[in-house]
Amino acid sequence: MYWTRLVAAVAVLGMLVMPALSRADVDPGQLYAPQGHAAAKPVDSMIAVAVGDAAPDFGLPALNGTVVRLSQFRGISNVVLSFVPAAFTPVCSGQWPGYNIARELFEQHNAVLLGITTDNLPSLHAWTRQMDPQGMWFPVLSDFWPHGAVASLYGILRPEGVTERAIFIIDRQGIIRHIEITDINLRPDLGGIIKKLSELQ
Amino acid sequence: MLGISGLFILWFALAGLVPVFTSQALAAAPAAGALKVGEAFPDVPLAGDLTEEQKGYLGLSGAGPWKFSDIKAGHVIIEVFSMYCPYCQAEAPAVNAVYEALRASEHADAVKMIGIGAGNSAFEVDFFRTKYGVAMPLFEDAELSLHELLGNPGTPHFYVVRLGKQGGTTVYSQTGRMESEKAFLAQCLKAAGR
Repeated sequence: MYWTRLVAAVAVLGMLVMPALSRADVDPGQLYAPQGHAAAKPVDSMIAVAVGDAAPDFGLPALNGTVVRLSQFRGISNVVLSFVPAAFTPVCSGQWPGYNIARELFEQHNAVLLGITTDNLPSLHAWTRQMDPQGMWFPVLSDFWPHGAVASLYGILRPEGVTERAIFIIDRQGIIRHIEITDINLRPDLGGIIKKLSELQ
Repeated sequence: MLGISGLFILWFALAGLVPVFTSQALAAAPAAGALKVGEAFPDVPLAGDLTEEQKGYLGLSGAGPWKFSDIKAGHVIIEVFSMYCPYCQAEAPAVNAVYEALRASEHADAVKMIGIGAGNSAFEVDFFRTKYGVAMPLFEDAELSLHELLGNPGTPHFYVVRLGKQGGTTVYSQTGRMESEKAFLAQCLKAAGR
C-alpha cells in the first residue's frame, strides 16, 4: 500500500510540474521528473458529503494571518469552496488566476470564494504572489495541518495527500447545493459555477 | 494505462496548461510544438458568439460554426489566449490596441484579426471579452481541440496565416507577449508581405 501511494504521489506531482518543462526560463534541474510512473486516477477519494447536507464546519488559517471559519458566513453569504491539488502548478495551469479577474461574478451572486489546498502557508504565499504580485482577492486557506483534515471531512483527500480538484457551493443557510469534483487534470467551467450560484438567488 | 509521456501529453492537452514566455528574448522563439513558419495551418472549425458587425468584418454569416477558410481576408492574425492566463490578461489592452490600429489602417480589408480561447468555454470567452472590452472576434475552444490542432502553443501565442482554400500557411509564429504594439503589428504586416 505504501509503495502504491508513493508511486501515485510521484505521478500526480510529476503531472503538476511537467508543464513547466517547456518553459525555457525554468532550470530543468529544478524540475521533478521521476523515472517511475503510474497513471493517477482522475478521482481517487470517496466523497463524504452530499448535496442537501449541512456543510461540515471548519476553521483554517488564511494567508492574512486570520482563521477563516465556514460558519462565519452563515446567514450572510453563499460560499464557494475551490479545492485545488497543489501549489506551484505553473501559473497558467491554475484556476485561480481566472477567478482572480472574476471577483464581480462571485460578488454579484453574494458569494464568498475560499481557495484551499493542503500546502502550508509559506508555500501558498509564494505561489499566490507568483500568480499575481498582489495575491488573490479571495481568502486562500491552508489545510496543511493536521494534514488535509478539511479535505478528509469532505471526502476529497487523495491517497497521496493532495485534494481533488473540487468545487462546493454552499448557500447562506450552510447547506451544500452543488458538488463538482473534476478529473484532476480538468478545470471546471467557470460558467457552470456561476450558473449554479445564480440558481441560489 | 498511460505511460508517463502519455500523462504529460494528457496534462498538456486536457488541462491546457499553457506555459508562457515573459522575456522578449524568449518571446521571439515559438514554443515547442507550435506551428512554425512555412507549416500548413489547419482549416479549424470556429465557433463563437459574434456580433453582426464582427461577422461582417470576417465575411461570415449565420450562427456558425464556420471554417477558418471561410474568413474573407488574405491573411489572419490569430491570438491563442486563455482567460486563465495572467499574461493574456495583462496583454489584453495591447491586443485591443493592435486590433484598433489594424482596423484603422489601409490593410484592414486584407489582414483580419481573431482570438481563440484555448480551453475556454463560451462563458469564459465572453467574460474575457467583457472584462477587457475586446472588440476583436473571439472564438471558444472549451475542449482544447483547436489548441491541439494548432500545436499546443503556450499562451499568449500569435500566428499570422496566409489564407488558402483549406486552411492556410503559417507565416508568423510567436509565443509570449509583444514587445510593443507598433512593432508587433509591423512584424505581422511584414510577414503578410505588407
